[in-house]
Amino acid sequence: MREAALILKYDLLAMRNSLIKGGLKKALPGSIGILVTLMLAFFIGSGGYNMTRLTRTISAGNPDLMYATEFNLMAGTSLAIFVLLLLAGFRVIYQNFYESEDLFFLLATPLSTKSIFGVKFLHSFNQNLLLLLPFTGAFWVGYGLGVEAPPVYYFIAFFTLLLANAIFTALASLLLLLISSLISSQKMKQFLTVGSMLLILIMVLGSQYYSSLTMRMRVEPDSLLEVVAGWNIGASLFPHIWISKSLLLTIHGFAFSFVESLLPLILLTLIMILATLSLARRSFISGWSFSHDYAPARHSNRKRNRGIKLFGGLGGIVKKDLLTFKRLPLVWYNLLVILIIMGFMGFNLASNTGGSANFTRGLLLFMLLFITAQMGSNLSAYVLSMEGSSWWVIQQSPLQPAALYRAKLLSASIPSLLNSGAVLLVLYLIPGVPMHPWYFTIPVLMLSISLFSSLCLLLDIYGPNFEIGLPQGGSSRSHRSARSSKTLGAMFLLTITAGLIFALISFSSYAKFLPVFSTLSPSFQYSIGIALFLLVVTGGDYICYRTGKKQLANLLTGKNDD
Amino acid sequence: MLQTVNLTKNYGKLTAVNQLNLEVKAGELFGFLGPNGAGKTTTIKMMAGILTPTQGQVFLDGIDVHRNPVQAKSLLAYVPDQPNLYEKLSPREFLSFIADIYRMDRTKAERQSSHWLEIFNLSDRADELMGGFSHGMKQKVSLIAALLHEPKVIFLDEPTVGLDPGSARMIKDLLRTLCQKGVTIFMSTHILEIAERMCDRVGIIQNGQLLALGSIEELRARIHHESTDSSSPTLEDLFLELTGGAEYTEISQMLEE
Repeated sequence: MREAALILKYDLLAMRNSLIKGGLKKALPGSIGILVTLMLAFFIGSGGYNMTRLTRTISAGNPDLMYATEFNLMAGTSLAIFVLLLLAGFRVIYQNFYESEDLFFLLATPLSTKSIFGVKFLHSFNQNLLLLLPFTGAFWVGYGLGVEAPPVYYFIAFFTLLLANAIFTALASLLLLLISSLISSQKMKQFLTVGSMLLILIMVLGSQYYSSLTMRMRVEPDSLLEVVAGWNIGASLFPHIWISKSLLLTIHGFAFSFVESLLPLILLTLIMILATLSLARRSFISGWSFSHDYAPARHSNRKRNRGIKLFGGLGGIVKKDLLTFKRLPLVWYNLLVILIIMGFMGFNLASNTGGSANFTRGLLLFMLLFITAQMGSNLSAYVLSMEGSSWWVIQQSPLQPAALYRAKLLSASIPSLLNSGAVLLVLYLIPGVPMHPWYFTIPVLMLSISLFSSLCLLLDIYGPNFEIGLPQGGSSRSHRSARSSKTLGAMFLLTITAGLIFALISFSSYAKFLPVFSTLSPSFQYSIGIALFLLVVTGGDYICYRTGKKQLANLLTGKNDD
Repeated sequence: MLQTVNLTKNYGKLTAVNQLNLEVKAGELFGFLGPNGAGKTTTIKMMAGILTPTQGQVFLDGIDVHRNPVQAKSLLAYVPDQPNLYEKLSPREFLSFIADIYRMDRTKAERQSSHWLEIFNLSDRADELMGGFSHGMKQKVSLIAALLHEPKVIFLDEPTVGLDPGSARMIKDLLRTLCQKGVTIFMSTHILEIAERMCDRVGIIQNGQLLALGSIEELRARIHHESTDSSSPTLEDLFLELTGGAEYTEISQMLEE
């Protein structure tokens, strides 16, 4: 215990130092990240509140249905805890246990394995809790406000969230401890990546299938509530049922006891933690050592590479970047998910003939722009940082800043172009999808991608983080925080830009409400929108190029390394 | 071939390199020595054009490195002490990337790549991703990348760290051969034996200031002249004398007692 407290003390000291000595420039991305998370929590919380109020209003005359619905909703959100943690929590735990840089040092000291493992467990627990709070936590607060729950509800809700998180962290730790002593780090990473992606894919497919079913149903509030009540998620004895019952302990109208709710939850948590600590004492070090064994994968692409011939330094950089992107599972996963979402959406829209075709066309174009922007923020925002610790190779090369800018812009644009090209192909292939003609959509998308990529590149040029490198790189706490801030910052910027582009393109649809433009002919209004769009894109691209090139010259000569 | 004029670098209040004046001739192998934190890496980075000096200039074949960085960089190669390379590329792909950057003829670049990969015993692993490579293997790949475009000046920061004895020996022989062909080599090292046996001239730096400059014989003569000891001093003696490390010898003697 004393040893664990000692490690924690220095961890906190390091955290304090990074906060105090980081300066305003370093604190800004983190602050933006916190702000965005708080906004997300607010939206989810108010969603929970509205949903609860709606349920209570609709089913006011049928209390049994109301309680069944609320219980199932709470059971659903409790299940969501485990789904959320499965998606992100596993990786957090893995990184803390096997990729923490300080483990090389800590395991060589006379500190007990149990203490070191305990501290890493606590770190994983904290990070997972931070992940849960803005989602499940906010929803539960919204529910509490919706049913006018007593103050003790909020205390129990927080305590239940802690227990649920501890159960998952312990269970995942047990699994990782067992797996890590059997397979190497590389395979483990592949296992985690593929596993979490598969899970997301199943969720996306499931939700799309469900939405396509509901779109074909006549949706009436009563029948919808009956569907939710009929889910019967609480039919079995699982931790999420204990969680839901614990949450509803103090809510009027529910008659659950402590013995069937909190007690089994507390007991399970204790058993899981003790089992994890016991296994860790015996197998943590051996698993950690084995996780650092590297099993290189052979690539027999010798023949293929010999045939590739590209022009000059610019082509070399683009080729290298594309090879790297090609080897990132994130890229292929993005493409797959987007194809599925847009495919299902197109299919649903094609089979639902009701509503205005113009509106659907606009909606699909907006979705395309929005999704392209999201994809861009995932990859393009790292197009310079992806040089990582190999940045010295670029720095020492005889490259003109302008040439490097152009190469990086191309590298940033190509994945988005390929992804949106594939999506467009799918949408045009589905018969009956109301789409703008290809000679309109393709140039609009291409120009938008050029602006998205320019903005991402400029963002990365002004705030490169060669320590993170690739979009999934960097394992320390500061790396993870920097990565999240970077992605969120880019996402925020590109979403606003996508909105602006859409507003300009669809200018003619609302120009009639604007005093100056209402008297103009529709074709003139349309031309104004397109002209403004072209002006924004070309102007934006040009400004990014001018400022980005200048800053790149500084980066290449290490002018800012003071 | 290489000249620094009042080269200075400040990091805030700390002066890492102070008014450094050096000249290295074509075909010369110059050893740059100094204790940890003396300013060796900072100097090399400024010479290679990847760090802007606070004051002073670097000339490479008459070209001001910081005024005409692209032109200067086409003549040089730099190998850092930590050869971090693209983990998602294979050595062959990385060398192809280097060849593209330097606009080399494709056939010649491929021939050269295969030649050097063979020499450095990396042919069998040329198509594996570099993420799984050891420090020594990455060091070899970055050396090949440096040699590929036939630079006039090569900057090497601790080139033998992490290399097995065979590879270290091969690099020593290779550097000598390159110098005979007219290539200038500016090398920092902690291994005094390497500097003593290989370098035409050495410079010793401490706290950013150049303490001594000359051939091994010249420096030896200098310390011999100042010392009352009749035996011929080694470069290690000279190094410890100049950098204040002589006290470590006394500590070592005390520990032995």
